[in-house]
Parts: sequence; C-alpha cells; structure tokens
Amino acid sequence: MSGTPKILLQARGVARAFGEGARRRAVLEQADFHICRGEHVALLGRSGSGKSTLLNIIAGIDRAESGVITMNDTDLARLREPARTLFRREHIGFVYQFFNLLPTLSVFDNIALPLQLLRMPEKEIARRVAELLNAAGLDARGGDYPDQLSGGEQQRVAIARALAHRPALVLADEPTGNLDAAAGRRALKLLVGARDTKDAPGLLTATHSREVARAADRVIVLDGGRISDGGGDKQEQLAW
Amino acid sequence: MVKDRLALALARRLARHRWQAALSALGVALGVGVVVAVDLANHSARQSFEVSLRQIAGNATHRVIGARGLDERLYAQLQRNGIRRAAPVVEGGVRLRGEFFQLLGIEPLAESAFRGWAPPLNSSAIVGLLGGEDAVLMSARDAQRLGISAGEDARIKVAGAEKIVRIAGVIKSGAGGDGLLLADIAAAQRLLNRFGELDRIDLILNASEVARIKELLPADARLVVPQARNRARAALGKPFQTNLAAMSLLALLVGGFIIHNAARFSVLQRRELLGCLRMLGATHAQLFARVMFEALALGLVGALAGLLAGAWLARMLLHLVARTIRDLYFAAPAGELQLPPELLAKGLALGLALTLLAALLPALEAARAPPQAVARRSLPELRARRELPKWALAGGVAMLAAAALAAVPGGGVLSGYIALFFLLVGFCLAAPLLALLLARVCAPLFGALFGFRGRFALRGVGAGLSRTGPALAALTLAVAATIGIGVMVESFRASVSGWLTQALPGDLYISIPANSSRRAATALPPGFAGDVRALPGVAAISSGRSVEVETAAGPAALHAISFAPKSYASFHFTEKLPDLWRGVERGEMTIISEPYAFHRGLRAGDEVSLLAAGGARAFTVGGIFRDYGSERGALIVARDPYARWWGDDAVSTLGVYFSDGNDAENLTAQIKSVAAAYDARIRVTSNREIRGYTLRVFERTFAITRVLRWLVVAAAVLGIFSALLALQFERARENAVLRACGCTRGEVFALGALQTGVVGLFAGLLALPLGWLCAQLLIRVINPRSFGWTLASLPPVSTPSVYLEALALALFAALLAGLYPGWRTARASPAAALREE
Repeated sequence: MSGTPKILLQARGVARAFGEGARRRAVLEQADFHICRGEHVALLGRSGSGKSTLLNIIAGIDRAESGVITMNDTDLARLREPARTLFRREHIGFVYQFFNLLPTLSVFDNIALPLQLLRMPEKEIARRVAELLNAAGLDARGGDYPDQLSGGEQQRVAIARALAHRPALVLADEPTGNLDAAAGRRALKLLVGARDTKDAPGLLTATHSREVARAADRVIVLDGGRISDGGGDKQEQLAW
Repeated sequence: MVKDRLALALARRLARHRWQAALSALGVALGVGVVVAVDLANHSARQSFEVSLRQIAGNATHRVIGARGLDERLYAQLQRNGIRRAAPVVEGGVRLRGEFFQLLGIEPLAESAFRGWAPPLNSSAIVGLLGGEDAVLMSARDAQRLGISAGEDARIKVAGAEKIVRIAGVIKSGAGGDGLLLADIAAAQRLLNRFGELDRIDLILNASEVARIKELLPADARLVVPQARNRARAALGKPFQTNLAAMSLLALLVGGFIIHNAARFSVLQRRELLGCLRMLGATHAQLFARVMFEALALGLVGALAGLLAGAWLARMLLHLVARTIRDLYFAAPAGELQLPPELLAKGLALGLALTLLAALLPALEAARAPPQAVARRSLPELRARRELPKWALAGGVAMLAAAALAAVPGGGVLSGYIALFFLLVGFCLAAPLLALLLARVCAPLFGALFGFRGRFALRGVGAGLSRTGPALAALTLAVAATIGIGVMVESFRASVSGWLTQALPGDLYISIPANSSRRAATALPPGFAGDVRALPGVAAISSGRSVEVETAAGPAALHAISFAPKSYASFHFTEKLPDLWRGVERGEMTIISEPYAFHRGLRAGDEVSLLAAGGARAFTVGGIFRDYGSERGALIVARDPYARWWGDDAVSTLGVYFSDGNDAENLTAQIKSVAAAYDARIRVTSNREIRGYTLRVFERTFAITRVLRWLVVAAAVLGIFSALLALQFERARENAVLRACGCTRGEVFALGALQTGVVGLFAGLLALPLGWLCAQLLIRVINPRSFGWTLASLPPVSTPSVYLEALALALFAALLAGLYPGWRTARASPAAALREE
C-alpha cells in the first residue's frame, strides 16, 4: 500500500453482553480497533471469545450495548435498523464458516442476490456473476444448487457472493474453519485476491488459523472481551 | 423408574417447539370436534324424533287406520266384540307460544296399558283432564321452558284459529311427553274441529285377536304394525344425516393432513438427532415406536379436547339439524342434547386411529433413515421429490377407482361417498407433483412480475414440498370441498328456481296454511272456489286436495288435482307413458314425484295400490315428474276420481289463472276480500311470494352445510398455519442470511408473504378442477342416490363466483396463516439465527 492509509472502520469501546439464565455474560467489554481501506486484518481469539459477535455488530445484524463504530464517516451504532440493513446491503460482504448459501437458489442466483437487492440491471448482474464464477473456478457450476457442491466449492460461492457488490468491507468468520487444507487455501486465495482489484475492500477475518492470519496485513487479538489496537507487531500477535 | 433416554432425547426437542405440538393437537381436536358434534347432533335429533314416535305409539302391537281417518263408532264396535286393549287417538298440530306441539287426543281410561308415561288413573292430572273443558296436560320440561304452570289458561293456534286451553297438569319430569299436549279425545276433537273422527285406534293384540279383528274392519280400514311404520318414517331423514356425517369426516380428513404434516415436520426437524441416535445404536423399531408413541400422546390430548369442543359445538348444531329435519321431513321437537358414551368413545377412537395412520409414514421415515444421511437436508427433499411421481400414480389409481364407483349403475349412496373419498385423497396425493409442475409453468410469469423474489418464492415452494406438501393438499382439499358444495348448492338453487317457475303456472294460490290434522290439509269453505272462478278477470282455476293416504309401503302424500289448461305444462317428466293425461283423468293412472319413485323403487308402468274408501285401489304409474317440494315425495291423481273413490270432494288448494291484460293487483285485492268474507284464515299468495318463501326454506336447509364448510376451511387454515410456522422455523437460517445480505425486515416479510401466497394460489388453482369434480359427484351421483333428485349441473361459467371466491379464499387463508410466521421471521434476530450453528 502506498501513501497514508485511510481509516475505513473505527471501533471505540464496543461492548456486548448476553443473558445466560439470570446472569449476564460480557462477551465484549472494550473493543478498540480500526481497519484501513484495502487492509486485511486478522482477528484472533479463543472459541467463545466474541469474534463472531463482533463481526455481527460491525455488520449491523447485532447491536453493541455501548461504544462507537464508524465506517465511511457513518456512526453505525446510531443508525436505526432499516438504515443499518441498507448500509450493510451496500457496503458490507459477509462470509461464514458454514457457508450459509441459500439452498433454494442456484449458485448463480446466490451470487446474484446482493446485486439484485441493489437493483442492478440483469445484464450487469450476469456479467459480474460470470466474472466471479470464473475467479472462483466454478464457471460450469452456475446452474447447480448448493447441495450439489463440495464444501470448498460452497465456500468459494459464498465468498463470491460476499464480493459481488464490491463492498468496502468484507467480514469473514472462520472462512476456512470447515474446510480441509487444500480447499481452505483455495478459498483464502479467492478472498484475499479481492484486494488486488481497484477499490480493494477492507477485510476483517475472524480465525483460529495461523495460515489465514499470516496472510493478513495485521493481526488483532480479542481476549477477555478486549481488543487493544496498538497496531501491534504481527509476529508478536501471532505468537499469542 | 428407568429413564428412557431415547424418548427423552426426542421429546425434549419437541418440547422446545411446544407450539408445533399444540397445533397438531389442535388439528386432531378440530377434526374430532366436528365429527363428534355432528354425530351428537344427529343422534340427539334422531333420538328426539324416535322418542316422540315411540311415546305416541306406546306399547301398541297393532294399529287400525283408515283411508280418510276412522269413524269413532268403530272403537265402540271393537270393544263390544271383545277387543278390550284398544285406545282411540286423534291428533293434530297446534302452536303454543310460537312452538309446534302435537295435540294428542286420547281416552284417559284406556291409556294406562299403552303409554306408560301417561299419568296414572288416580292422579290429579287425569282428574283435571277428564273434568275440565278443553283441558290439556304437558310435560314438566315444556311447561318450565315456556313458563307455564298447572291451572293456567294458554292460547293455542289450531289451523290458524286461536283457542284457549287450560293446563290441567304437568307430566312429571323425565317421564316423557315432550312436544305433546295431551287431551281427552272429546276435547281434542272439539279443538281440532274433527267431531266424530279418529285418526287411529292403537291396539295390543294376541294372534287370535289379530285374525278376528280383520273380520271386523270396514273396507276402508287397515290393520298395520306401528313399529314398521315408525322405522320407515325415521329412515326418511337418514340420507340428510349421512350427508352431514360425510361432511364432518371431511373435517377429520383435513385434520389427518394436519397431523401428518406436523409429524412429518417434527421428524424432519429432528433428522440430525435421529441420525445421531442411529449412530449410537438405536434400532429402527425403537425410533419407530417412540415417534408413534409421541404422535399417539398428542392425538390423545387432541382427541380429548375434540370431545369437549364437539359437545359444545353439538349444542349449536342440534338446533340447525332439528330445523332442517323439520323443514324437510317431519315436525319433531328439537329435543335435548344427549352425550351417549359410545359416540364419545367412537370420536376418541377415530381421532387416535387417524393420528396413528397420519404418523405412520413419518415414523417409518424416521426409523428407516440411514444415520449418515439424516444430517443432510437435501436428502429428504430429494427423496420426497423422487417419490412424487409414485404418489401421483397412486393418486391417479384412486381417482380411477372413484370414477369406476361413480359409474356403477344402481350403486348405493355409500359407494358414492367412497368414490368422493377416493377422488379427494387421490387428487391430494397428486397435488405436490402438480404444484411442482405449476411452479415450473409459473416461473417465467413470476420472474417477470416479481423479479428474483418471484423466482425465489416459487423455488421455495418447490424445495420445501416435503414440508409444505401435506398442508398444501389439506388446503386444496378444503377449498375444493367449498367449491363442490358451493356448485352443488347453486345447481340445487337453479333447479329449484327453474322448477318453481314451471311448477307454479297460476297467478295466485289459495289455501288455509295451518292443518289441524296430519292426515289432510284444512279444507277451503264450500262455495268459495265457485265464487273465485266467477270473478271477472279469472280465466281458470285449478283445485287440489292434499291428504295422506295409506299404501302398502306406509303413508304417502297424495294430491288430488283438478287441472287447469295451463297446469299440464307445469310438469317436467323424467319418464312417462304415452296417453298419460287421459289415463290420469280416467283415474287409471297416477303421476309420482322423483323422490317418491326413488324411495319406492318405482318406474313408469309400475303399479301402486292406495287405500281408498272402498278398499285398495290400484293405479298405474303414468309418469315420474321432477319435484323439489318434498323429499318424501308425493303422488298425484285427478280430483274427480279421487272424490269418487275416497268420498271426499273437499278442496284445500286453489290455483287462480288471470285473463291476459287484467289488473293483477286489483284482481288479487278482490280475491282477498272474497276470501276474508269466508274465513279470515284463508291465505292468498302470489306465485312470486311462494317462490320467495320456498327459496328461503331452501337456503335454511343449507345453513348447516355452510357451517360445516367453514369448519373444514378453519381446519385447513390451521393446517397451513402450522406448516408455515414450522417452515418459518426451518428457514430461520436462510432468512438470517438474507438479512445479512442486506434484505430489510419488510423485504423478508414480503418474500415470506409471496411464498405463502404461492402456496395459497397453488392450492386454489388445484382446487378448481378438484372442486368441479366433487360437484359433479355430488350432483350426478350422491344427490340422486341419497334423495332421488335430479339436479341441473351448472357449467363453471354459470357459477364463476363460486370458483373465484374459492380462489380468493385459498389465497386469503394462506396469507392469513402466513401473517404471524412472516412477522416472526421479519422480527427474528439474524445474529441469533446464525449463532445457532
């Protein structure tokens, strides 16, 4: 990257707790971090440490109880639900560990879905989906349904869907966690490859995988509900 | 107690979805409730009628009846000849405080051997009955209901005339006598204006007396066995009650689909759990038994709730059933609702049997699923889709069997209903495949109309057939039933309306509406017919006498008619002999109505024997005419021969034909003033008024059918609601993904509504041909086999509203059922749904 990196997303004091019977368990207590445009940040943390919750809060499908998240000068925490949805529709792509493809839609339609939500013309949708299918190595599989694909193929479709509308930020929650090593590498290549394009998206990947983390520009660690965003040393963080 | 961890593992999952369990129990409850309600209402109405017949017949072994009643002197003659156990009876209908009562004139001193419920001889009630003029007794229950006490005077209406009776006493509660006013025979003759007449003499005879009495009877009297006659009368209402029972079974069938859907869903939802249990070593039989037991427990809860609901619903239905029976067949008291344990047990058994049957396939599916396959959602869907052609083929075979049963000439009503059942079930088996084909056909249209949302909704329906299929079939079935019944009622209405136009050629009809005797309509005053005919502007009159005559097969309604020239064209014959009218005028032939021919199995050319004043007289059936006026049917003979052979030249009805170009209003007013001068009770009615009244009665007789139709629809809505709610649970993850991709709550809701609408639309579209087929079966097979009526079959273009309403109903029902699931879907937290990984 050249020049001063511009901050895409800034989180300050983000907190979230969940009720467990009569008790409340704080999952996030003080999450402070940032992501720059085109930057790939890996988010490390133990199971149950709140990585998915943080991703959900950034995506606007969950809400922080306190704290501020700004993206492109928009304070996400202040947005009402419909506005958060529309913001997500336009600016965020999401990749899940378990793919979460829509079983009732073909591969082509799964990738086309975010574009249709943005009311893109059919011709443009077809062109862009074809591009993504090619990039994912699934040119011939557009008419197939998710059930007919292997796990690796399903994840590549999910990544293609997350990139289809050229979001500013892609959130990936354990994108290789459910794949074997080879399939995981292929999926990761597709995901990280998105940064080689013009208007490269920021990428926040929650992971356990050192390999995924090593592919990131920077690593942040979620521990005890806290992230300290010191822009810390990647090797040091990887040793965590 | 040993903990059954296998059952616990399955049950806990079900307990988490209590609403689903509750809805399937509700499905059983609704089905069982409707069946039990109809059963109880039918039983209570029938019991009430049979009790009323029994209490009037009493312990009589025989009965003497006459061609035109009996001369009271015959009673004295029988007694003189040693027939001691004899009780004379005169009876007629009266109204007391707007309610119908049977006035039964008896000889109190001869009664004790006959009617056990009658007060004993030494009771004060009998003393009052014998002592007071126009004194009557009534049951304690009726007296309490009407707020009448012993010693009070009460106004009754006899053939439209008001009279005062004294309530001499009440018959103690529970003893019987409901719907009756008991009077001394002389008082009853006075009240009914039937001096010197008896309707019958009840007898208790031994074999030697039977032989002896036959010698004593005049030619116009017959010795008959009352029980056989009562059975024949009670049997008249049976087809109507069978029809109701069949409709209630339809609700149960819909209930069955709901249970099947719920059981199937609960198995599909737990497929991972089931797979896991199989991996751990649970056998097929163990899983099968537990799923079946679970269904049985839900079925039991539902069936018990259904019994309670049924008893509650039966109270409302009883009134409708009793009123329809009164309108169609005979006057009978409404009676009290009875709750015989055997009927309740039958309802419970039906509910449980249906539950087990409905859960059988899902339980087998649960047991047979290979452990490695249960975890993949696509497999049940793929299997379900692979099996669609097989089910459709089975459905096709069932529909062919339906066609074969319907086509069997001379088949009974039961085979008609079995054909209807096969048709409905057969079509429902084919419905999922048809829905899939519809989805393919509609895809381009939906894509053009709604874009990807339309395609998504269509695919959703196709992809979820293993879940939505049975609910779609249930809704199809219920909507088709509403079409079938709607078209049948419309065809019936058109037939009755057409028949009324043809059968009432006169401009005015004159009669005395209330009858003081069951045997004969009240006669118009002598000379009245002549005065009407003499009025300027009256072109012609037809006159008629309506009586009940004895035939070899029991009593029958006979109309003796003096035809006006236009009268002949008012008959539409389904079959007739040549030279029919000449035969009728000569008194050689009778024409009979379609229901009469049906009930007695008569054809044109057959012979019927009627008891006339001089003894039995044979008539050839000259023709069979369409008639929707009476389900029991009637015979028509010419009036002159009737007057000659029955010695009765009274006239009870006049038809008046105006000359062309007359001021109808003015002439009607003149006739009314002539009538009023004779007798205030004479009613002058235009044919338009009669048509209106008849059609009102017609509508009333279908009131209960409509109620049942809505109950069936309610059951189907419940089914579709249950399926959609379950589907919503099933698709929580997909919806969360949609939300994560940027769909707003409104869009997710709209998408759900579109999917629900597709289910409703497809059910509605599939119901159109099925409904039409049901209507054809009802009109062409079941109605003729039940009642003997031929109905005009209306093409769909004549009844578009029935079809359009049904389509709208299906859409509305599905959208209504989808409202709450859609709302829940839209409100659900996507983060929570995605966390449930």
